Amino acid sequence: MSALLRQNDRALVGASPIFEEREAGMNGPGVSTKPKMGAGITVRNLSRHYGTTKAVDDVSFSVEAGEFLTLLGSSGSGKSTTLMMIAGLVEPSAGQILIDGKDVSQLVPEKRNLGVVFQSYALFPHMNVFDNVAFPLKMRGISRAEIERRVKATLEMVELDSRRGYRVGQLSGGQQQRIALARALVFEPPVLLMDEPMGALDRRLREQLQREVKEIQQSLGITVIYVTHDQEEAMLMSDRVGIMAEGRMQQIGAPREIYEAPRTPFVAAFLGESNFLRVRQTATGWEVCPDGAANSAGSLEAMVRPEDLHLLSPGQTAALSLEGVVRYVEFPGGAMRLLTDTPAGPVEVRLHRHEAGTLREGERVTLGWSDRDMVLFGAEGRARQETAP
Amino acid sequence: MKQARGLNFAITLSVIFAAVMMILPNAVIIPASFNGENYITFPPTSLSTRWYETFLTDPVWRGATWNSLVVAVLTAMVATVLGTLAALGLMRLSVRARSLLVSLFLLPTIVPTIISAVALYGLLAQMGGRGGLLGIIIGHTIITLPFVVVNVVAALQQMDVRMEHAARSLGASPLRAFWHVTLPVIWPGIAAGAVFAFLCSFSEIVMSLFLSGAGSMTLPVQMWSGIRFEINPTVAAASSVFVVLSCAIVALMGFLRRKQGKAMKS
Amino acid sequence: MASGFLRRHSASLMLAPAMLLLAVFFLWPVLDLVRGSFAHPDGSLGQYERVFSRPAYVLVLQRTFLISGLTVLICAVIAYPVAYRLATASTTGKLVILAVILIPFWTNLLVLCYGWLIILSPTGTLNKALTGIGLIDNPLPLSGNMAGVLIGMVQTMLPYMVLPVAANMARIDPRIPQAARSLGAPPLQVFLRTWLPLTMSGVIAGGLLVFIMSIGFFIIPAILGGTKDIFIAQLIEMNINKVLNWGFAAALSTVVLVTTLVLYGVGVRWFGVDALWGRQ
Repeated sequence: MSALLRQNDRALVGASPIFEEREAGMNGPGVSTKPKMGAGITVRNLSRHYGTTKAVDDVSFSVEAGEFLTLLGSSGSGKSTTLMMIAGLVEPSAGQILIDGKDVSQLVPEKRNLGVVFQSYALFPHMNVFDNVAFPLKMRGISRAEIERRVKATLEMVELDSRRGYRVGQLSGGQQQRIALARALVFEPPVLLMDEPMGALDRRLREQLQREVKEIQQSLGITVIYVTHDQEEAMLMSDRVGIMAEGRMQQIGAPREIYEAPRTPFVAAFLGESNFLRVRQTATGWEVCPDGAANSAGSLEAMVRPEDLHLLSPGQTAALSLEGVVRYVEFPGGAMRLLTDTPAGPVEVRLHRHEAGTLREGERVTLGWSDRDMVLFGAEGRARQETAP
Repeated sequence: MKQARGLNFAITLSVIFAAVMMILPNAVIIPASFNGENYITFPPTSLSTRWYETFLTDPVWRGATWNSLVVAVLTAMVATVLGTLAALGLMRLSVRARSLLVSLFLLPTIVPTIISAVALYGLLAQMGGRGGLLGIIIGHTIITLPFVVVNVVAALQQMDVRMEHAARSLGASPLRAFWHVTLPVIWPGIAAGAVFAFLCSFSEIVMSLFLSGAGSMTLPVQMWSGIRFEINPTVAAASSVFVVLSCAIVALMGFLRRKQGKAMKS
Repeated sequence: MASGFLRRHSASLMLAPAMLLLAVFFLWPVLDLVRGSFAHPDGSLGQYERVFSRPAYVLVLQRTFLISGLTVLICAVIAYPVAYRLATASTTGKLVILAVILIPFWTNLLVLCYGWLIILSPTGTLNKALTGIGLIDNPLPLSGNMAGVLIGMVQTMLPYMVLPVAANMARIDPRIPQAARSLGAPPLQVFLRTWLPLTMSGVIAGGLLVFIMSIGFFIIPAILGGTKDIFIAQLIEMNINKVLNWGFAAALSTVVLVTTLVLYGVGVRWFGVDALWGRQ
């Protein structure tokens, strides 16, 4: 989704009661801001099969120390299972997990020393806030005075030290989320695994916490592997995003890289909005093949984002252009949304309000775009990076 | 509208009828047990505590009550330990295997007690172990095990597995995760199973009737012969004890259910 | 490694004690009982021939099934409106109705029978009250016969009918009868055309459950019934304790067992009977 749209939504939810609850700024007193180094993680040929279903199928990637990696995918894509295998809570059918080069595949979860924030938090309902956060320290046999000091420091970091005696059930969703984070960080793990940690929160609070998590990660220098199905969250927070589908890693890269240069039509369609067309190289440049003539020799599949299309006024030219008739014009707030019927099929366009002007249904328009904004896929469905003729 | 009101009235009437039917036999027992005559009747014709005196002093009644307490406490303990272990094991199985095994555990509640009793009677007679308290405890454990399993499985299903996972990821061994996290969350379910097993065993008659011997009469067996063979009014005093016990246990179960609800809310 | 072994087989190890107990003291003896029913000098089915050919025994079978069926019918009639109230009541109302309906569930069966004996016997509360106000001259025969048995059985079985029906009713979208009302149906038609058909499966589930439990009844017919008109369970007990005919008791037990399991299987397969035990 575009930045414009996002801003608009934020204005809409600005009046929600959760808004008042917040507590700005992250770095409370008592926490050392000296960055610690996180650990690097390597996942090699990891698989998890349930009977004949392959929940995770031969996934490999590595995360550098201090990096923020997000596994993005729809439900059932295998992203959570991958995370739980790294945590040691799901046994892999095959493959290896290395933390700082050491194989931990056979290690029980309690020996892996990884912080995990679970979906719906999994806070212990029979303990108060303090005991929840103190739990990992108690399990490590740390002295009472040290526990007191470290829990206090961590609770201050998430600004909930005043709630230390509260029962978990007395806290709001956002507060529970922070306690879960504090509990996973209090024993200073080099790696933090987060499984859809914001799923249960409303949008306003989610954006707030996304920023806080990012700040904490940067100040602690900790490695984070984050699982979400929310594209925007993934793009906003991550150094790199791994897109998963049907148990396989589809593409992994920096957010802009996978958005601007998706390697497969699947990734292109999954991430953001997209128009797929067939184009053919000519002596002078590119031309769009009409729909139905798709199999004509030498044509390639191409993807262009709706926001990269422009209206051409008479006489104006672009590397590629296409005539069309407006089927409808919509204004969801932010940018205008147009659907045009063209010889190459329906094409979606995003225009700034001023550019769209007073366009109406049924009007004829000429759409143009630069060949730099177009991603080409070869016959085998792989992206071709060299676009200019 | 008139039709609706008539229907509503008929429904209320049926509910009242059912309620009276449910309450009546329990309600007459306590007043009737204070009757001073040599027979039991409601309303009592004269007031006396003589049947309670007999119940509390007669060695036969005292012995039967003691036997029943021993059996019920031991049954509750064995059934709770075995049932809780089994429930924990069931949760580790695949959904298919679990549902198959749960059916097996529920079998003793479906097979009429008279049949399990006769079958166990046959086995114990072959082994020469009939007539002792141990046989009764075994029989009662078979009957009460399903209630413990069902209660604990329900508690475990309500509990978020991620809670146990969280404990493990935070450094707890499986045993410590169970002790510090799972047990404190599911204990009301276990306790409910234990209390129900106790009540069930303490009141059980059919198994006991077949498996008890001269020295191992339980309270219900003594009451049974009191009703069937001698019309002994001490039965009324013993019955009152059961009515009071049931009320106490229902209150306890209500308390446990509330606790469970609270423990699950995070 | 020992810990690895424990980890891999933890489920089996935890299930083992309970399974072993059930196998040794329940499954094996019951199977042995069934096997014993086929051991007869006149050929393996001799005991069954006796069960189904002697008029006295056939009568016991008929009586047991007939009274169990009647219990189902009476329970259904009483339970239906109660379940409706239960399903539609406020939270407090639900608690009160549930507490009352579940009384037999919590009470010692002997105590219930004894209570009914005090009320129903010829010199009992009910007959005294009726003769007292001059409604009848001679006490009504309410105990020591099938009337007493039915009263006792209906009371103890009512919760098993109310709960499945109420659970079924609670699942019905309240907007369905409302829609019927808005489409012009008067209350009675709403009931006949929406509630009744939608709740039928709950009634059948409850009915199967009540029937299954009724045919094995022993205590209620023994205390509230007469000495002549006995149930199958009593016939089994007599053959064990008095006649000492193990094979015949085994055959009778097998008849009850097979009927129970078949009906339960039907109930689970088509009517969700096992939902009552909190299974999914």
